Amino acid sequence: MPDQKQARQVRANDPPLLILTSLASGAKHGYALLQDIEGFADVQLGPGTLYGAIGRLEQRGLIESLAASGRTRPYRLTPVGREALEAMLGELRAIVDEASTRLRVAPRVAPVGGHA
Amino acid sequence: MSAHKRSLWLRCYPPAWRARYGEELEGLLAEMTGDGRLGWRARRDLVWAGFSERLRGCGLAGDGVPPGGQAKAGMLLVLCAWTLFVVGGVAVQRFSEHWQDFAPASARALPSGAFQALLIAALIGSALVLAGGAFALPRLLAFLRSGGWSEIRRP
Repeated sequence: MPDQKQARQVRANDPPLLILTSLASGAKHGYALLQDIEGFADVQLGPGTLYGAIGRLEQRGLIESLAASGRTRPYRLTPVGREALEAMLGELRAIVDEASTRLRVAPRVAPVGGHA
Repeated sequence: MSAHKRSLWLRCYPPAWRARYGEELEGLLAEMTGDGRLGWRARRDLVWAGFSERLRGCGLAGDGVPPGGQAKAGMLLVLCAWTLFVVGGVAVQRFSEHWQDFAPASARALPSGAFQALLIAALIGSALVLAGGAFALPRLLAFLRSGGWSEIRRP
């Protein structure tokens, strides 16, 4: 069972989660990451937020940089990063499953002022 | 956006961070903006992220800094800000008291403006001291709860 404190820290729009998810399909540099994340999550990360998260992920060994080409430097997921992403997804999945179960069990409520 | 403006935005970050990621971030800004301007959201994001990195650089924030280190850094910040505030306040009180008595009415605009600026600086200083206190106090309490008192007393 995931640590509850850790589970509270994972949100679907967290920059680290979005970056790890984007890198799961292959190495990308900063601008490609921004475009990819906007494409699959409809979230526009700022340049400062992106590189702040990249720095922390690299420091924790979850991603690693590849050889730079010009001013761009691609990043890729490490094995530890893959495990961390799977753990984060597991925590999110637990919440999704719980919400789905509760919605199935809970009776439907008519909208206020509407007709049943 | 010109290379000069991009390098100015990078000044928000501490030198060590710029040495590692500065070139990449500048390249990203160039790709994002082309010849156009940087949007206000991106500007705000850069300023905030740069400020956060500076806090990390000072040991005031970050996952790698233990609560004890954060508490010590926060207390040091409060102490420095408070010292600056007291020294500045004493200087203002000492040199600006009854200044109207010694300045002719026709020449009071500049000293009055300067005095207003000092008051604003004092207000900002007070806000910084309060912010430093608000930042340091929870970390200090967490540090003490985790047995930090014995660490402080240890010679």
